[in-house]
Amino acid sequence: MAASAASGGEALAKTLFVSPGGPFYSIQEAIKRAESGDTVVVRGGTYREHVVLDKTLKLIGEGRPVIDGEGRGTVVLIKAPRCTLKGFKITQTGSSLTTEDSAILLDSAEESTVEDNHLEDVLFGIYLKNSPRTLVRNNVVVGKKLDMPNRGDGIRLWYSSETRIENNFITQTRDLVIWFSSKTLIVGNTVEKGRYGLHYMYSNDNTFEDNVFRENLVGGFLMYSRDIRFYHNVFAHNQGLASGYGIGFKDLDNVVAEENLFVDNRVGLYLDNSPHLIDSWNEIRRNVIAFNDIGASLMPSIERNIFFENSFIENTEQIEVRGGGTLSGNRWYVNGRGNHWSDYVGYDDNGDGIGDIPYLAESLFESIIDKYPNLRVFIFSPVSQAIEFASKTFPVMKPEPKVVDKYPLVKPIIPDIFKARKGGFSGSFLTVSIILVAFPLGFYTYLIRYGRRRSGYR
Amino acid sequence: MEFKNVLLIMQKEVREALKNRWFIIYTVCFSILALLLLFFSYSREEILGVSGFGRTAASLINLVLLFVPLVSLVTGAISISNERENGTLFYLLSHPVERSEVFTGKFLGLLVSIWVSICLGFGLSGIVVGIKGGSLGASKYLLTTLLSLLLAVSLLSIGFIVSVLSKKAAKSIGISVFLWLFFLVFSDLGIMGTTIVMDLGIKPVFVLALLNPTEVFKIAAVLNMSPRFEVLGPVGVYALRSFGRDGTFYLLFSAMILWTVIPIVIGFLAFTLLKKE
Repeated sequence: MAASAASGGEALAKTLFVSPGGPFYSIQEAIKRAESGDTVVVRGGTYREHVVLDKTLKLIGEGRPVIDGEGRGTVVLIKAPRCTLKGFKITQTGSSLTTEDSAILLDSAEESTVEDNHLEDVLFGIYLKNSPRTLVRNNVVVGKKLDMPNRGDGIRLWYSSETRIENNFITQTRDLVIWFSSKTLIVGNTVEKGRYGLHYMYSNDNTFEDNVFRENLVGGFLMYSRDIRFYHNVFAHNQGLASGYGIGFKDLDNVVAEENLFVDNRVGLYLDNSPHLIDSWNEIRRNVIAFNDIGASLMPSIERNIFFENSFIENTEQIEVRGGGTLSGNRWYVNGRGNHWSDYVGYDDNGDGIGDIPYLAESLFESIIDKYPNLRVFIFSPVSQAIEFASKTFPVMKPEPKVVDKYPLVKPIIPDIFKARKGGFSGSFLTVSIILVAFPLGFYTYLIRYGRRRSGYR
Repeated sequence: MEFKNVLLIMQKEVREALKNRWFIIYTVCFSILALLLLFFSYSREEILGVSGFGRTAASLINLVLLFVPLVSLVTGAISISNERENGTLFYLLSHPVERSEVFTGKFLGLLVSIWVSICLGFGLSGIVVGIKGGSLGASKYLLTTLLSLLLAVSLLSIGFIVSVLSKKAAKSIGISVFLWLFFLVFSDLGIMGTTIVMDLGIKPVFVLALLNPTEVFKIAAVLNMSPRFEVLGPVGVYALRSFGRDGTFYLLFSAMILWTVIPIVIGFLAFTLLKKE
C-alpha cells in the first residue's frame, strides 16, 4: 500500500520488492538495482545482512521484516540524503563503543525520515551524523543488557540541526544525546532506564516538550548550551547514586522551563554554574516539584535564576544550598507572585492567594546538613525538630534564610496535564490492615478470657 | 518455668492494662494520629496522582518514634517498681511461682498490650487508606509496622531494666523519661556536635547512629519507605556501597534484634539473681 502511494508520486520511480520468495532475496541486492527516487518494499521475514543505503531511496518494511546484524557492526547505514526507513525490526548490532555500532546510522543523510522501526538488542539505536532536518518518529529502541559504561546511546545527534525527534520510546540505553545541533524539537518521547534521559552538549536554541524521562540516573542533563526551552515534561523516579537529578543544568544560559513535573527524584532541579554568562537569566516558572529528596539544589555562587509560580510540594528538603549559604542573587517572585511552598506556615488574610508574610527557608537543621552532609543520616529524627524548635525559640541561633519569597502562593498551581488519577481501592492494603486489626484483637481476647471456662471465672 | 504460670501472669497484666485505661487512651490517640497523617497524604495524592517519599511518610515515622518509645519505656519502667512499692510484688512472689515466670509473664503481658495497640493503630488507619486508595505499598506498610513492634520490644525491655534496678516508681518514671529524651534527642545531638567539632568521617557517624535503638528504627524505616539510600546522605551511600541493599537491611535488623535481646537478658538476670527485696 505504501509502495503504490510512493510510486504514484513520481512517474519515473519504480518499486522493487524483496521477500523470502523473491523477486529479490536480499535487501542489499534490491538497493544495488534501484535508482535514486525508487522505493524498495521489504516483506516479512528475517534478513541476516548489513544494509548500506547509498542512494536516495524509500526503504519500506511490510509485515515488520527483521534485519539481523548477527552481533557485528552497524546494521543499517544510510549515506544518501532524503531517504526513508520505515517499518523494520532491527536487532543484534555489534557491541563496540569504539566503532559506535548502531542499529541505524545516518551519515550525511540530511532530510531523511526514520519512522516506525523497532530496534532491539542494539548498542547505539539511531545515530544521526551530519544529517540535519531529519525526522525520527515512532521508533522503539531497546538497548543491550549491558552495564552502564558499556552502553551506547538510544538516539544520538551529531551536527544534525533542525531535526525532529517525536514519539519514540527508548529504554535501557545510555542517553538521548544532542551534540552541536540547534533548532531541534524533541516531543512526546519516553526515555527510561538509561543514564541521561536527555543530554544536550554545546547545542543552542533547542526545544523539548511533552516527554517523559523516568528511572534514569539523571532525567535530563543539559550542558554548555544556551536558549533552551522546555515545557510539559515529566521527570520522575530518576535515582542515580550521587546524581539522581530530575534535570541538571551545567553552564546553561537563557533557559525557559515551564509547567514541567519533577517527582520522586533524588534532586528535582540541579543548577551548576547556570546561567554562566553575565547578562543571561534563566526563567523557571509554573513547574511542579514534588516528593523529591531535595527540591532544587544550587551552589551559593549561582545568580540570575528566576523562580516563580512553581509549586514545591513535600520535598524532604525544598532547597539545598550546597556547602551552605544563601541564594540571594536569584529572584523568587515576579510581579508580586512567588512560589507555592508546602511547608509555608503563614496565612492569607485578604484572600488574594498570596501569603501575607514571606516564606523563609531558614531551617537550622537544613543549614547544618548542607554544610555537614554526613549528618543527613539524622534527617526525620526528632532531633531535627528539636533543633528547629531551639532555633525558633532562641533567634540568635537562626541561620540566614536560604530563600526569601515575599509573595508565597497559598495554593499550588498544578497544570491540568498533571492532575490526578484518583487513588483507587487497594485490596492488598486492605487485607494487610484487616490482618493487623483482627489477629491481635483475637489473641488479646483469647488471653483475657484464658482459663475462664476451666477454672470457672468468679 | 511453667508455661501455664507465665500465661496467667500475662493475663493479669493484660487485664490490668485494660483496667488502667492507658492502653485504651494510647491506642485511640495513636490510631487517630496515624489516620490523620495517612489521610492527609492521601489528599495530597489526589492533587498529583503521583507520590513518593514525602514529608507525610516521614511524619508517620516520627509519630512512631515519639509515641512508641515513650509508652514502652514508661510502662516497662513502672511495671515492677510500682508493684514493689505497693507490696503486691511480694504477694505475687509468695505464690508458688518462680521469679523467672513472674518476669516473663509481666514482660509478655505488657508487650502484648503494646503490640496490640500498635497493630490496631496501623490496622485501623490502614483500612481507611485501603478503602480510599493510597500509593504507599502494602508490604512497605507491613514492614513499617513490624519495625515499630521491634522498637517497642527493645524499649520495653530497657524500661524493665530501669524498673528492676530502681526502688521507687517515681524514680523509675523519671529515669525512663530521661532515657526517652536521651535516645530521641540528646544522643543524636551529641553525635552531631562531635561530628562538627571533631570532623568525624562517615563510618564513625554510621556506627554511632547504630548505638541508638530509635535511630536504628528510623534508618530502617526510612530506607524501607524510600527507594533511595541517598536520602540519608553520604552515610546512606556508604551503607549501600559496603553492605548492599539487602545487607544493610540485615545489618539494621540484627542491630534491632541485639537491642531487644541484650536488655531482656540483663533485665531478666537482674530480676532473678538480685534478691534484695
